[in-house]
Parts: sequence; structure tokens; C-alpha cells
Amino acid sequence: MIESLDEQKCSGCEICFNVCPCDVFRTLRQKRLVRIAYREDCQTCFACELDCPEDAICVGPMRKHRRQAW
Amino acid sequence: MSIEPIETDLLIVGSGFAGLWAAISAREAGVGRVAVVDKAAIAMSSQSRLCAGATIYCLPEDDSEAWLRDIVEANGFLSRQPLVAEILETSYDRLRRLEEWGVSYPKGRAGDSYARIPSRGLPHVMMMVVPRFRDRVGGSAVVDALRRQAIRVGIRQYPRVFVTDLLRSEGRVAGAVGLDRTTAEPIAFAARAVLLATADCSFRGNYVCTDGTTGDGFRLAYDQGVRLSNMEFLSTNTGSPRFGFEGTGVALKWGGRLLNARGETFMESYHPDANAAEIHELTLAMVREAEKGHGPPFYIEMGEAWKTRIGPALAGIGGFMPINLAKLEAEGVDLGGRQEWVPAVQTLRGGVRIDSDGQSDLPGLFAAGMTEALDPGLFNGWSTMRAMGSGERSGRGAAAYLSGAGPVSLDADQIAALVARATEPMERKAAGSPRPDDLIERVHALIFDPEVSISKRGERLGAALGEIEDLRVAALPDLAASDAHELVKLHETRNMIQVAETFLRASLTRTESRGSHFRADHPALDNQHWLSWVNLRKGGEGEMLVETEPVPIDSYPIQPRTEELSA
Repeated sequence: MIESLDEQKCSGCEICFNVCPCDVFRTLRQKRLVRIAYREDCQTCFACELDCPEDAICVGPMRKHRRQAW
Repeated sequence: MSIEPIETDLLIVGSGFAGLWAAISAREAGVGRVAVVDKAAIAMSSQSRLCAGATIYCLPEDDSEAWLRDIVEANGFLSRQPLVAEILETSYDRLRRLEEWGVSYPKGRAGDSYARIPSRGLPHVMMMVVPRFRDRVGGSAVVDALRRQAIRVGIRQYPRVFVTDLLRSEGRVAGAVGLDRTTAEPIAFAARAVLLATADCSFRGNYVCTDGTTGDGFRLAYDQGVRLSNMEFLSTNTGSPRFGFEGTGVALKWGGRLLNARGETFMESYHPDANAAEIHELTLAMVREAEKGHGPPFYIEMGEAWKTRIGPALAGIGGFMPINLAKLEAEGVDLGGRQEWVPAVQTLRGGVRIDSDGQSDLPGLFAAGMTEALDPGLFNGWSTMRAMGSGERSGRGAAAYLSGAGPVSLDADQIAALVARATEPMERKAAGSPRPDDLIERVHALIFDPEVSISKRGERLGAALGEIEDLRVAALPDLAASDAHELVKLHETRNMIQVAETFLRASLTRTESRGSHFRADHPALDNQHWLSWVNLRKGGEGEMLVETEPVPIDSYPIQPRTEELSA
């Protein structure tokens, strides 16, 4: 699950907002920033971390608990 | 509120392999205006982007009839054979076109031929892996190249639009309404044809990177009264309950083993191929072991093979796995050691019943990719080829339809009513209203029951069906959403509940076992009675109608061998 977005490094380019399949981010245009708005819906695909040109995002490999079979 | 519809000739919902191939082939076939919408950015929400990109291409030197037999047998003879054969026959041309657009696949040792590996469990079929495009590797390489080509041929892009309903007029499809995913502003399209390419349904389960596949196209089509087919086939896979992992099949073929709670291997008691058996055989065996009290928990143990073979291979396939593996290692997760492993619902293999042009029962409504019903099986490299081949075919089919279809007239009242219904949950903010996440939990509890999704029993299916109907009728209308994000999730929940109902109804109907559909109370394959598709559609009163449609096996090139018929 996504862990952090470093506001010091974020340039507000919105690439993470655009590549996230799960709509986890919201943009703050006036501040040229992006924030993690819906962390619980992160599916741990790493798309944002891989594509962030500023290396501002960290996604951890552990996912939230999910219900499955047993 | 009056909404001015965006005019287009063809509206494509979804922008993965299928949607983008459809867009390109429709433009090339002369369709003037092709609009592509996606609930995320174009080419971003898709399973195509997140998959490793292994693809079955049938080269001129391959024995295409042997390939067709492999595929048809792996699909329990429920394939729509002429359509599968067409996809195989045209696959080499698509490979050449992808190469023209900049995609490369590794070459073999001979220099000019391709490096290929067998698709799991199929005797003849070979697939190519590790596609590259610019700095991308895997499925994202292919989908990026397709996106660029689609833009080059002049598609119009509508990113972050969630389609909530289709529009119809005079017995034809006439467009769609949807919501902006950031603002919840309504948007409408007037379209002379609509093509659904929204993948399948994973119910937001435990399998990796499938949260976006919520059965959107299935429900859009179902609400128009068109037939869905093969909805009883829900493929399960296995994986970690804690982290994402793609490649269990490869791991178990290359020395990995499944263990029960006592630390014993068990697959050899259930299948002659033991740990190398088909994926759905693994989950079935886990359920059998659980019935004996030998689990849960279950484990995977990859041992030395993790370091020597499995790990290096999975780190090189592209997609999310390389970074995932690096992060797991940094967290101290030892994949060579014993890891808990659980069954995971992966994908529902049914879809919209289509004709040879990819058209549904409703004139002008087309489907492609995992949204169409082509065949119910799941094996490496075929879903990607299916998506691309069906996208190309259905895009061309839509173009042929459009050449003879007149303009559509939209009813402003119809649009206003659908928009009002789609946005109404935002007005229901009262504390105590159920939220989408609450209902998703309840869907999970019903569908992920092993006796519903893996080793099905009529009684349990019937009980789950009753509860799902209750959710749809009683709980869904009261759901509230606080913002655009949650509103989209609410509509995804609505779609998953409807799809769950079709899955349960179809599973109850098929009283035999075939492929990933295993009925513990009807464990035998029954070719005498069940070489048939189960079709479902919504009746005039909102009721679900069921029919069985015999597979026209006598007119198909591949038929069961005598011993398979009597099996």
C-alpha cells in the first residue's frame, strides 16, 4: 500500500494522479502539489512510484488485509 | 439540468489492448469520429498495463490447427471456434504491426526467429514474453505503443470518465452517460455505436492488481437486455494474503511446492501433474485438504529454485513484479522459505454474447476483450491475444455496422433521468447510510466462500443468490457517497453485485463440472448434456432469464474425441 508522498520533492506534475488506476490521488493545483486522498484504495501496483520523476513516492509491498476464502 | 451530449460515431468504453485495437481498426476502416473513454487516464486503468504481456502469436510456420485444438480442449469445448480461429490466423499480422509501431520481442538464438516458451499445460501453443517499447517492459510496453498509435490515427480521448448507463433509441444503442471521476459532473455521449472493452470482474478480491475490474461492461450490457454467456466460469488462482505475487504457476512448475498445515505436499494426491497442475486444480485441492482438516493455513515453498531460477525469471518479466520483489526483499520476506498461500479469485471468464462481428443482441452495441464471451478458460498468453484480436475484429465490425446506420436521436428526458439516478447517492449523506465498502465486504463474504467459488454446492449457491438479490433490491438503493471518488466506487459496487448474481445463477444452472466450474454435487464432466452455453439476460420485468444454447459442435472444426464424448 502507498506509504508516503514527499511534499518537498513533489513538483506537482500530476503524473501519479494520471497513472493511478485506482484514483488514489487528488491534485492541489494552486500549491502545485498532489496528495494521497484515498490510501485505502491503493492496490499496490507501484505505478505511481515507478513513474514519479522526482522519486517522491514510496509504496510498501504489503497490502491491506483482504477477505479471501479463509 | 440539461446536458449537451458529445457527438461521436463510435464510443469505446475502456482503453486496454481491446479498446485501443478497436479504436485503431475502426479508424482505419473509415469511421470518422472515434471517442475512447476510460475510468482512469487512457491506457492506465487497464489490466493490459499491469500484466506481464505474455502473448500467444501463431507464426506462419506453426500448425494452427494443432493450436486451435489445444485452445478448444483447454476451454472444455465451449470456445466459439470460428472466432478463436480468426484470432489465431490474424495474430501474426498484429505482431508485425506492433513491431512497426516500435514494440520488440526478444529474438531466438537463430537470430531471426522469436524466443518463445510453451503456454502452461498446452502441448503445442507457444508464447512470447517480455515485450519492450521505449523504456517500458511488459504489458505497459504494448499498451503504450497502442495508445500512441491510437492518438496518431486521431481518436478523441475522454479520460477519467466512468460510464454509468448506456442510452438507446428506436431499438438501437444511442450513446452513454457517465460521471467525471474527479468532480462527479455528468457527461453524455450521442454515439451511433458503442463498444464495451472494460475487462472482466475480479470483485476487488485478493488477486494482484485487479481492483479496477469490477464488471462494468457486463452490467452495462446486461441492463440493455442482451445475453451474457459463460458467467459461471470464475477462475481462481493462488497467492499470498499479505503481498502481491504473480507467477505462482511458473514457480510451481520450476520446483516450488504447495504444503498443507502439517508441512506435507499434497498435490500428488489430487492430480497426476501434482504441483504443475492447472491453476484451478490447485485451489480445488486446497479446498479438499481443508475439508480433511489439513489446513488452512497452506504454504508455498520455493526453496533453492527461488534463487536459481524462479526469482531471476520473475524479476525480468516487467510489470510490477521487479520492484515488488525488490521491496519484499528489503522488508526481509524470504521467498525461498515457507510463505502462507491462499486461494484468490482472479477473473470471471464470461461476457457479452456476440456474433461474428463482435456485435451483441442490441444493434450497435459491440464488445471486445474480456468483456465478450469467447471462451471460458484461462491460460498464459491467451487473454492478451484474445483482447487484441477481438478488439481488432469488433472495431472493424463496428465500422461495418456504422457504414449502414443512420443518425441517432437522443431523448433529453432519458439522459436527465439516468444522470439524476447516477448522482443521487451524493445527496444521501445522512449518517448511518451504508457505504460502498460495507457492501463490497458482504459481496466478498458471499462470493469468496470456497463452496461458492471453488468447489461449488447447489445449496450454498442458492443461499448466496438469495442474499445477493437482497443486496441489490434492499441495500443498493440506500447507499450513500460523500464525493466523486466514492460515487464511482458505489457504481462499481452496483456492477459487482449484478455480476455476482449472474455468476451464481449460471453456476446453479450448469449441473456438471467443466474447467474452472466445479460442482461438488455434480463432479463429472457431462458432454452428453452440457456441450452448451448458459446464457442469461434481463427480462422486461427486471427478472433474470436463463437459457442453454447448444454449442454447434458438429459444424466446428475441432470436436471431442470419442472417449471425451463418453466421458
